[in-house]
Amino acid sequence: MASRREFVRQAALAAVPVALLAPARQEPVQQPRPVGRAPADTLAVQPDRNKAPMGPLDNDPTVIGIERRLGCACGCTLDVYTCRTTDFSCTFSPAMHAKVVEQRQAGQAPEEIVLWFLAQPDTLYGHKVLLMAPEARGFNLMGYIVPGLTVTAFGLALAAWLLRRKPVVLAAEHASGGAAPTVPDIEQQARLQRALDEVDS
Amino acid sequence: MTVLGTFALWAALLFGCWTAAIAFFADWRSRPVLAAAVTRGVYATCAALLVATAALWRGIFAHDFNIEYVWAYTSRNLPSYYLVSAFWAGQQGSMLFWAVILSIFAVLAQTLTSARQKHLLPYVAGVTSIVVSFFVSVMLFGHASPFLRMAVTPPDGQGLNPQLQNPGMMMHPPLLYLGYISITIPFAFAIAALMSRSLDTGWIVAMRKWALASWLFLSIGITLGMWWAYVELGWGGVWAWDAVENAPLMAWLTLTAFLHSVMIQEKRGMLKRWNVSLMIGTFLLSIFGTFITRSGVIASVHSFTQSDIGYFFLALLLVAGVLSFTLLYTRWPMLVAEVQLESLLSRESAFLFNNLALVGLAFAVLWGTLFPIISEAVSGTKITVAKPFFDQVNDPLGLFLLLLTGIGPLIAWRKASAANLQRQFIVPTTCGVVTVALLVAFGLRDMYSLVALGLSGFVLGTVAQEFYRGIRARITLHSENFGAAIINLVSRNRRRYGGYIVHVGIVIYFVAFTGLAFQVKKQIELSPGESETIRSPFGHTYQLKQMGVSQYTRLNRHVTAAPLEISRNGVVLGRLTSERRQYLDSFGNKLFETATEVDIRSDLREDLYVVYAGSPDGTERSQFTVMVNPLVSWFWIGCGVLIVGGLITMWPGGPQVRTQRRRAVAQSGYSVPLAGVAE
Repeated sequence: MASRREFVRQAALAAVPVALLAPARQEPVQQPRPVGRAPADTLAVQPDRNKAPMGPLDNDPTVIGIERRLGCACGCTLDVYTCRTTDFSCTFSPAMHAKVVEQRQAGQAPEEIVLWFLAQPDTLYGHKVLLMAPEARGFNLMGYIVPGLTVTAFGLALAAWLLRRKPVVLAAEHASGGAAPTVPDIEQQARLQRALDEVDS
Repeated sequence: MTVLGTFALWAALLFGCWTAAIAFFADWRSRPVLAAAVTRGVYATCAALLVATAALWRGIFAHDFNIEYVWAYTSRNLPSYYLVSAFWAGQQGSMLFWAVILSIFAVLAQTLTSARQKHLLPYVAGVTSIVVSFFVSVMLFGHASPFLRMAVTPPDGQGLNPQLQNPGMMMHPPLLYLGYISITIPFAFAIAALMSRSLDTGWIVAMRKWALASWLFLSIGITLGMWWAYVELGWGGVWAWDAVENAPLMAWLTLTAFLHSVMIQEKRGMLKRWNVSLMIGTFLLSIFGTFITRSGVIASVHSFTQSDIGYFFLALLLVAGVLSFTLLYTRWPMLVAEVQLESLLSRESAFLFNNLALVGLAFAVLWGTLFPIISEAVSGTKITVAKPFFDQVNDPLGLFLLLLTGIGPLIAWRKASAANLQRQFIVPTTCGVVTVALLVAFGLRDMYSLVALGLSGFVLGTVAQEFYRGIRARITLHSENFGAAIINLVSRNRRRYGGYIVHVGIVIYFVAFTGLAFQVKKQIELSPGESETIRSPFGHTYQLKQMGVSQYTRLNRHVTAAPLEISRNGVVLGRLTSERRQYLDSFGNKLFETATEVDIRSDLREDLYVVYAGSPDGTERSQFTVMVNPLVSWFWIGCGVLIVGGLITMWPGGPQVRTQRRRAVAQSGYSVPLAGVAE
């Protein structure tokens, strides 16, 4: 066992290199790492949980078409495609996308895939999967046609009402012997402008 | 601060109720001191709410986390500029914001209204005080006070939602609120006119600038909302037909209809009943929009937390609707038109059809917003009504409206002749046809786009023709040079030519929407040094080269940034760096889910839009969503044009007296379609 004096001597000798190295052990300044030079190509903090690598059908137009028809089950009001390419924290849309891809690779037709999703109970994804726009049949047909029909009906009624007034006005014009006013040429407009300026003044 | 704030709210409620009581029940006509008391009551209410506002802001900036609202929407390390916007970020704060802004508007209405309409002011004060008192009541009795205290004081707050930590959110909600809130003032004037039986054009003159201001605020607020959705939400679109987006749009549409039809009342003394109805309807839609936003009754991606206070608004909606329309019914005989429509081919008729299209569009939006509830009630099946539905239903109506925007200014007042129509339509129609022909020649085949852009050409032709004729007339009549002619033309007919400029702004929106339909979207996954290409609808090829991933901490967040080097047709344009952000509190604890920050390279033709989607396996190999969005910049340009047009229309002064004299002359039989010279 070393004596107390020996212990102090060794400690003092050990302290010298520590003291010399101390300036090199300052707190590192936080700054962006040079791009493309991360050690071992790894990230210190994983920004997202469970981020899956891209699959072969992620940009497939048929898959996108199917996903655009289906609402995401997370309740975000977006379709599956928009949700999975926008809300990267959503866990529902990647799962639904994986299912679409799986069924597509199994040879299912787009309509069959859509119907499969619609037939699933709401326990599968937490919410019932719904179409982004209802099918135009049954009562939902009303959803599509009521606005257009209403505007058309009111427009026709308005036009009919205005046309019905026409004979009265024409009769009045006939009685007064006046013709419908014509558009004045530039000289007439000039005269009118002067007349109006007189009224103004 | 909470005691002071709560006391100020109670004081505001007291002053508001007192003011409304005197305004509606006291005999202020024979006792001027009571009329003065009404005005002072409006001032006192405003003062009390300003005190409450100061108290809340004091709590926010002092990080008083014992206040539940401050704890829920801020944190110690939240940048100070977002402490400002935290005021309206939550349900309770936005209620106070609404109340205080309305009370300020009420004061302005009392002070800025000309002496000729002073007899309307006590009723205006009464209506505004009722609405202010309602908001204060909701705060005090609906568990929506921003001054509620917590049992213990947490060391830090929960922070502001990352999506609200965007400069756009400092401007978008206040401007949208300003639009919503200021609708109350023209509504109050309409009710005042009905109650006082002063149903001439006086109330319209008194409220016209308020309606225009409200319309302008709504327009800017809606566009800023589009901008925020575009730059912050990462989906590359501007409009999703979400219920909360639809709410201000409906009010905007009916207010636009009102601003058109009110011109008929001013010039011809017609459509009085319709105008009052439109103003009541616009106010009710603003309350309905608030109900949607606050109640959570309709699914929305960005409504406030679901709460019971929505039902306060439902009650206000029903009571205000019943009382307003009952009042209108009792005054119905007094609102008879001074002259009758004479022809289907007249500008009055065109305005009527324009109103039909605008109100029809508002109805279509309302119908689509409510249809999930209606369908579930009728068929028992839950459905979603989202963008595909709204696009299918509203696009034809929107195109019809665009057509009418071009037709209206071409038709003479009272009655147009065949020669007039031929002369007026030839240039705009040619513009529309040439536009379509050019687009077809350049390879565009999409029918909707061709129709939309053809109609846009038609409307621009109409506006250009109107300006050309007006300038030519001024040069001929007054021997002015071109510059002086255009300045004098616009300044002497601000409403008319300002309106045309607004039309140009609207056309630009349509063009931008048409362009965005050609969006190209692609998902890519790249390791550092790898590259991928995407082809734009304009035929350019963009190359995107991954430059690695960096991670660092900045302000109140940990950032993972993924830059891409961008080249177009082989020419390097620079870098786009999109980020994933993990927000932290001052102790380094995570707040919220990871948020996305997009990066965009814009020019007049298209935007290259990059979203960093994350890195699988914890390596620098990263996924991106890349989009090329054509013509998006034109939304913001269109908004700028619209603001310029709106400000010209609103600019004080102008030949108001002359217009009224002309109307008198015109109604006494001097009827000439003054196309190109004057209104």
